[in-house]
Amino acid sequence: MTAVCRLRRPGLRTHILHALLLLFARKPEEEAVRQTANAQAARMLDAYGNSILRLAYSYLHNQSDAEEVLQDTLLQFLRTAPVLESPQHKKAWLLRVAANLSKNRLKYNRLRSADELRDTLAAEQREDLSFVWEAVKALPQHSRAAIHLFYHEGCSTAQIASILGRKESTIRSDLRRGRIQLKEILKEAYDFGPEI
Amino acid sequence: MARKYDEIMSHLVVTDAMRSRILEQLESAGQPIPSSRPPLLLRRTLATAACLAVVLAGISILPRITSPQPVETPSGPITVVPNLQEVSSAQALSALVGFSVSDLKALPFLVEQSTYTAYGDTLAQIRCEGDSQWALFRKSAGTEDNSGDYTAYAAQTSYDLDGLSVTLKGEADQSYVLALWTDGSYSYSLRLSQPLTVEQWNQVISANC
Repeated sequence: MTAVCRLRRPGLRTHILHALLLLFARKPEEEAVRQTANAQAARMLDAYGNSILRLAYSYLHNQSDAEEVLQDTLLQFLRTAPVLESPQHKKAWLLRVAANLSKNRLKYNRLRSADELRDTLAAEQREDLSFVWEAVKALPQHSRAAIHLFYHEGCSTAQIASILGRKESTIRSDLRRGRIQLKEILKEAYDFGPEI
Repeated sequence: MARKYDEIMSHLVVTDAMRSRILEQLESAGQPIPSSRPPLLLRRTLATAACLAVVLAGISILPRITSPQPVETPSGPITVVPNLQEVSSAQALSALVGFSVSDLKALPFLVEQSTYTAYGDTLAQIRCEGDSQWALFRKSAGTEDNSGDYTAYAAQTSYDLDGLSVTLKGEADQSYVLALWTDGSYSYSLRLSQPLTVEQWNQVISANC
């Protein structure tokens, strides 16, 4: 008489599967927390995603790298859950993290060489925009970041100093040097408004 | 030129595909928001342990209740351990200590995290961190130095600031890391990880009175 494998008994197999489900299934509390985190990530992405992406791109000149910085910035926010006083503080916090992550990539990681923005502007035959983009790309990193935050994000020099972790006087110098260099390159096309 | 730069940047947007990718990655990274309440199993375990502790305490007290013994008075100096309690906001801290305490303003760094601690009902403490810097603020009734900082600093200056008696301490002139001030009713102290000048301190102190 052949011994019947215990696991073939439906009752025992059902018990084991049930136990495994209980062990590995997400508890209702954890599921609620996970859904809250996902909803928060989506809200952050909708509110600040473009700003973070553009700042990262101003450093890295590559869409894939900038997207990874955007993702890592949101991950950092979800992990640390910082206490921030207002939406302005929240945005400044996110931009600072994105700037730091971008700078780390420039220092330590191999960067992709494609510049999708340059290619897009070329495909649209917008030589005026390509000209400006290449001029801004040629700026030193600190001046480029300061120019981006000042003119595109509308940040004050104090806010930029906080975001980039530099002194306000240094930011003013970065902006001044950046404008001088852009003036030399762009000449008649240059129009950044009055001096700071 | 600035308008052209804005036009350039307008080409960079979070597309629907990018949004989906990022949210999927975040979900698979499995990063829940840190919950202020411990998980259910841990709470049940802690509750059980608390009940057990109460029972054991009761068992130890019962013999004393039935046959009371004179309480022995310890000799020599007594070390009093302050009743420390950590709370989640300045409002909760104010309720514990019995006087108003607000979040710090005009700090020279962006605050990323704040910790609120009450030492009994006498001293309120707020520790702020951010941008690799920190600040430690204390408020208590009276006019005594409540900083707990007994460092012998090389430089010190005292003056009046709009009715406040201010003392700054640091390692050099115009490089102060500790500020003590009082309005005659309450004593305040603020220790920073990075030094400030007198003018910078005046702004911080004025914003936090």
